[in-house]
Amino acid sequence: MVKKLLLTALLGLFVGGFAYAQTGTLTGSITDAKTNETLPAANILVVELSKGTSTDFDGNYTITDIPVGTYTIKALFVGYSPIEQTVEVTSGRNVLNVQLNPDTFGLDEIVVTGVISGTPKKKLAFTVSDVSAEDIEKVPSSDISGALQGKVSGVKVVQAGGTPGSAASIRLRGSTAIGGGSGGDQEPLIIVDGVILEGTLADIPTQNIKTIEVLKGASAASLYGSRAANGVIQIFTKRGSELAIGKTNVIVRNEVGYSQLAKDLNLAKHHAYARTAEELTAAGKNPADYEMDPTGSYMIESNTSNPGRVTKADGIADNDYGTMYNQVERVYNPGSSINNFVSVSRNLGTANMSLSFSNLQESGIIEETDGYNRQNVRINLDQNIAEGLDISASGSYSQSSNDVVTQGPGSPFWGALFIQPNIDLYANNEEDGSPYNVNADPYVIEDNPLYQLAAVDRTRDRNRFLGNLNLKYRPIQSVLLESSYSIDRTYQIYERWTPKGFLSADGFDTNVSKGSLYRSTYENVAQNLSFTAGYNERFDELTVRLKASYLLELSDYQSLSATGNDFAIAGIKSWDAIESDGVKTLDNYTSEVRSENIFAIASLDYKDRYIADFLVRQDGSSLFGEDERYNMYYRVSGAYRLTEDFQIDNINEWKLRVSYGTAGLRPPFAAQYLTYNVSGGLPTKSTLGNPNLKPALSKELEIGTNIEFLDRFSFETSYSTTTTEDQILSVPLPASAGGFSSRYENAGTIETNTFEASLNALLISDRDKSLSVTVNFDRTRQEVTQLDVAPFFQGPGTQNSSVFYVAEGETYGVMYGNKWVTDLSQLSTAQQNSGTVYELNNEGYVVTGKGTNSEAPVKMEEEDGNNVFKIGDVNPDFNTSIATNFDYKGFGVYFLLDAKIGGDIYNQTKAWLFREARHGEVDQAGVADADKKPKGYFEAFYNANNTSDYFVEDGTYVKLREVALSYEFSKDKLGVVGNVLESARVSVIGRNLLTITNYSGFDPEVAGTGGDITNFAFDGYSYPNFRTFSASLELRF
Amino acid sequence: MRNLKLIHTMKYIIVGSLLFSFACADLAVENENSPTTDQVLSSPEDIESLVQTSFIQWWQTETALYMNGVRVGQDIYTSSWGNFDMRNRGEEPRIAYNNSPTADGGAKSLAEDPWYGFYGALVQANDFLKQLNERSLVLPSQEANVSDEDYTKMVEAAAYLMQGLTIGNLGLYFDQALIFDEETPDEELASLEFIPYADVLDIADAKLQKASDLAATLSGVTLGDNYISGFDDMTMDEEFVELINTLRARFMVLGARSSTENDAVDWGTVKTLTEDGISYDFSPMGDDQFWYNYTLLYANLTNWLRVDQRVINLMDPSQPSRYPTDGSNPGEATSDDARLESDFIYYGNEPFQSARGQYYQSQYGSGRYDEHLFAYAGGPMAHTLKAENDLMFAEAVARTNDTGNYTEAANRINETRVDRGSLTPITSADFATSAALDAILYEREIELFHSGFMQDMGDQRRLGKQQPGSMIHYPVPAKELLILQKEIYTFGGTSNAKMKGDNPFNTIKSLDKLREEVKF
Repeated sequence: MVKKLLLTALLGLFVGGFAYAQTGTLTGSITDAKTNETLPAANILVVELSKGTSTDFDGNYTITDIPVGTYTIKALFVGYSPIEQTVEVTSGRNVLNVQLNPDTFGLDEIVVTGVISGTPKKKLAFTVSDVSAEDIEKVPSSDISGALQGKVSGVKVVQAGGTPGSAASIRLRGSTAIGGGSGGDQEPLIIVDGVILEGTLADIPTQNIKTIEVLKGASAASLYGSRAANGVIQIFTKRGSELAIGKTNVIVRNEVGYSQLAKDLNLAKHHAYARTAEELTAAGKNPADYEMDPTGSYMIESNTSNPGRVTKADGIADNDYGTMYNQVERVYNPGSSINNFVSVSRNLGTANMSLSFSNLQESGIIEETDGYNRQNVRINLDQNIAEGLDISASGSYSQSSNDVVTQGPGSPFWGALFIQPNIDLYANNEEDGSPYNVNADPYVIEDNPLYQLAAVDRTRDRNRFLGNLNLKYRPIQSVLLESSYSIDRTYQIYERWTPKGFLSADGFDTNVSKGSLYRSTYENVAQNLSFTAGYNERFDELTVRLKASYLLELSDYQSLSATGNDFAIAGIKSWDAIESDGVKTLDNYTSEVRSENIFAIASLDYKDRYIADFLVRQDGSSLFGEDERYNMYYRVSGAYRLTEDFQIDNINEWKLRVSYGTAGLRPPFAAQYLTYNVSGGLPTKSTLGNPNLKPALSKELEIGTNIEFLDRFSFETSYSTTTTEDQILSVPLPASAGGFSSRYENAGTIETNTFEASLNALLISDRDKSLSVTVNFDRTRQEVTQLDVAPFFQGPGTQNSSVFYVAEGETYGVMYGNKWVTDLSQLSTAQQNSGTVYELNNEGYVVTGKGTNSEAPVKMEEEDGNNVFKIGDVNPDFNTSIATNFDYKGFGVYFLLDAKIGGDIYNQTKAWLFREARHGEVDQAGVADADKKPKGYFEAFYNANNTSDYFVEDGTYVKLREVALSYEFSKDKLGVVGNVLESARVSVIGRNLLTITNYSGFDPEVAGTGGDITNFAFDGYSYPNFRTFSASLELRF
Repeated sequence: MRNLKLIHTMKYIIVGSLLFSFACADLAVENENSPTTDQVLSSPEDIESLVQTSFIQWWQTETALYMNGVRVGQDIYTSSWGNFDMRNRGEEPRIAYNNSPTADGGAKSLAEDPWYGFYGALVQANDFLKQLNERSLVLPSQEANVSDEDYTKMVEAAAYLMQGLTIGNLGLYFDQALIFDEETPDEELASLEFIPYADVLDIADAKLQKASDLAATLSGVTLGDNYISGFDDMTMDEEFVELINTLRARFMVLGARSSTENDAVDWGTVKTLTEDGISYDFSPMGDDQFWYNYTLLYANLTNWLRVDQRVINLMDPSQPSRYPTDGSNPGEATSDDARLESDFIYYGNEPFQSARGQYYQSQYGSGRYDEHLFAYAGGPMAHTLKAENDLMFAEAVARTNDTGNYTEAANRINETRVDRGSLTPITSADFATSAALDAILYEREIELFHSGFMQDMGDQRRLGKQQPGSMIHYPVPAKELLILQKEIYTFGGTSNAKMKGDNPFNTIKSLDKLREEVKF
């Protein structure tokens, strides 16, 4: 029905004619209402004609050839509240002088995300946070996720590691999806210039972003229906329309940086192996059978190809190595980055364009890797075709190439820390003379990481196209018809080539592989088509705005991968070179998603102070089970601008608001289907289908207030409570269920609440200097309130990383594992009656065999034998950040301090180093003899890699995340160069310069390499975040 | 005027694309990655493939990595790595098996992998037999000179074999199981009760007999292609029947949980069956696609698994039977048995962290099936060796004092004892003393080392050789107990205090709702 109405409306509204008559001229000046200073380069527009101009150097303007009639005139200038007024244009000369008020708090800034149409911030009934180009440009991030870090309250951005070309993970407020991965993760819906993103954020540069708008939860994001429970981030890039009419703007920016590991790790510099004849004898060995190893570190068996070494009788790691290398320094190599950006923009009034190119090269900090490079071209065009008819096009193409480094167990990050300091990683292979001796350290199970990095090629190349075409037609002033088409296409090739002759270490021996070639490609094409009809009318003191929209979403995914093992010919990256009896395998996957959604929204604004907003949306999607194909969402919100009715001293503006809305999370593609695993053409039963599978449903209530006071402060705070039910989880089936192992069900609920606040202060603002400070704060609590499956552990997916426990009634983000007894009273009856002697040691642990070479901690055990306890919680007490910006006569100082207070990290990196006796804590040199511990004591804490509280660490940190010092040479300071240049700015920039933390790993900002990054605070041999210094020069023409 | 024309064009574009979009908004999308049930069962060949997949699933379940943990727990191999629960299983004194939904994946795999794996294979065989009965199918023969009717019977016999093997394996591995077949009505599946292992093994035996009876009628018919790798030409009325005889004997012998139960085994029947048992090694061939053996691969890697010192002591009694815990190295063993050299490798080093327990150490690895490693999962993979059949026969002769067969039994023992081990031959006179039985059990340890599913654990428990607190069988996985809302339990451990009593995971109220919704 709605579709038919829309169609009729569209058809009817296109009927109409256009007439031209006598013309007049409009002229005048635009000035600052407070200071009466003239405003050069301000824009003035005749809205109905899409015709306009900008003021000259003296603030004057003239628009000619205006047909006689009544028009809406709009004047706007950056930092001032725009105004609109109605003017009667008569034949001949008409004068209109306009005064604009400075918009100190940005209250008149227009936001468009989640609302009916462009709405000033002061009239919003829910939170829409925004980040402007100014906030982003000082320290440009390589991608959008980084640009949000620390800049908006309630936004959690986790840069899990420093891998070049990897985007950070974003979570807005609390978690909405438990069991991250099966029902999706916490990632918000992201829209760039009207294109709903289906792929990574890493492809999208930040230097041409104009603004980022953030809707944090269902109370604001209902407009986006079943994809919006995690909130919505909408990004707009710069367009020529922002320039003064007739102006051309060219920006050339180059940045060169230097990156380094910010911190060394505390590794053992001593070992526990016998070095002397006395130590050998004490350990029951005959010294005659032993000799010193070539590095002069420990005694090894002589006359054997597999020489063993002997742990000292006391097991204490306090013997020197004969040779010392810093393996971290040898593997982590400082790197460089280059970032070039060129943009050309032009505004011709009825048409404008903006072109930009960016080139990014980040080498990263790992030896033998090239890192990441990306090129991006963007074109934004707007054209007024006829009166009331505008067309816009936005297109972005990027290509990137990444020299991939594997992470986690078995990766180079492992070997770099495991291999002992006496080993020369740079020695050549004795087998084939190639660089980096693969079995450099035969006593460690890891191969030389440098050999792996040098020998195996792993590359990921990606192409990405984002495009949007938008047509707007305004048949009459109060009606807007809009049609939009967008496409997001990603094509990626990943290749791993292990050459023939590749060596792997096996103790003192090496194995030679015949090599392999693996290549996988995928293409994802997502297309959206929308039609919207809007109606705006002001009836006396009531403004009514209505909008109805239809959105069709189509998404196609196809992947293909192939492997070949055992090359007959060396040096060739082709499957043709695989031996005839070598193994070749193929795999493919396709998925298609179709959704159609309709919504209607109404917004009422009475006397500019009572604001109400209603929304209803119906989503239909092929991802929903066939009996649940359509789902409804809605939103009701209201705001009251108190200060419009009451004058309160020193309060400029005070608004109260409340909003309640619902939104969804779609199931993953295969969830609803009955599936078989097919391998080699033979099917076996896998999952049982569920025609009743629904999207998860998030319901959010937000209350909040915005206060602007003392002419310079702006404060915003919100409290939101969110319930996300119908969680999409894989529910196991019994063995008797006909062979199907599981079925996706709507089987859980998570409740979260978030308190967030931000304070903006413009402390100084005059012609020469300005000082602004922004403080953000947020605190989130999350709990699983219902779970229809057995409690389970989850984690990033690497070995023994399922630390995070999910159970009904439990906080989401808790860690469970073994605990170590720290007080004799904690021993169970069985332990107390076991006859074993338990004592407290100097480190506060209850141990057996205190002071002996078998000293070992004791695992806590309950009377019923349970030994699994809650040991940590990733949820921080709160997050806060402070950004400060000071400008004085061209000098600029900017910094962003970001803090996470509380929230635990599971440090598996440390645990594994205990196994290898490589962690600094195992090193007993310099420890008082009475307090020395044998390495077995530390190995016991490793606990066969089972989780224990020993490795739960507080992840609190304060980070100096961004610093920029800059100086801008204005045109007049540039001398003769000023004839060509508009301005030049030089900056010195630092990223991650300083981190204050007690966390013992490389960086407290760490997460697992898979799954729900924002909840998996897990340190397991990933690429650490690093520090970057850079210098940039920006020229404007 | 130009503008007007443009407007009209735009109008058509907008309206046209609007109509287009409505026309294509069909929200039913197929999952092209997976066939539907109708597609899976669309042709007789597809239905036949249910049995072929059943064989693959059975094989992959028998040889999956969890078996490393099981073997370490029986002092066959040793390893202190935490993977596959090896460290926990090998710990001394023995600790309970952690049967919990929150155990780590390695520990869980010891109960879940065989449970869901064998049931997966069983369901495939059941589904085939159901289709066969419901549709009165006659499969098109894929073999020259075999009628469609005989071919169908061959597949049917293979399906019964799979029922017997999977149910039998559940009976060997678990203390109890849920048993259903093609004749169990769907509505009864949700209310099945567990039955004890002895009954489970009886049902397996009945299925195997059914397979054997049917196969015996199939003269001139061989097992089809793509059933058992390397056994495409197995004659149904001879080799297939022989295999089933051996397997039936095997389940009878290995099913015993204690020496008392071992004494109670019907050794007379074992003897009868093994008299007509296999005369060939039942060792499927690795094809690196479906037929591979991960436990062999790991067992042959230098530092993953070592042969337990207990086994070395059997061949060289001068060696300790438990690795010394005083830091000393027992050094290289010497033995009259040539297989110490041919089947085992002396590494001369200790691969594991001594702090985890010296008793995990070993200087020896296994090497008999090395070719499986080096050919990357190629070559024959010992399942039921002819020697196993011979040794069961000899043991039955010894235990039933069947004097008439002493010479035959001695010959069968000597086939490996002398031919491969170069040890002194056993004579019929040795049956008068314990010497013959000792030699049989020794052969079972050394000659059958790393062959067949549960051969090693089965012997350890029925002969009472286990360390106190070792697993005699595994519990039904906690995951399954939770779904069925049964109390979680476990075995093992010298005190076996763990996991007893109230289990907090038994209180998930909403599971009732799920059970109601998901009809199984």
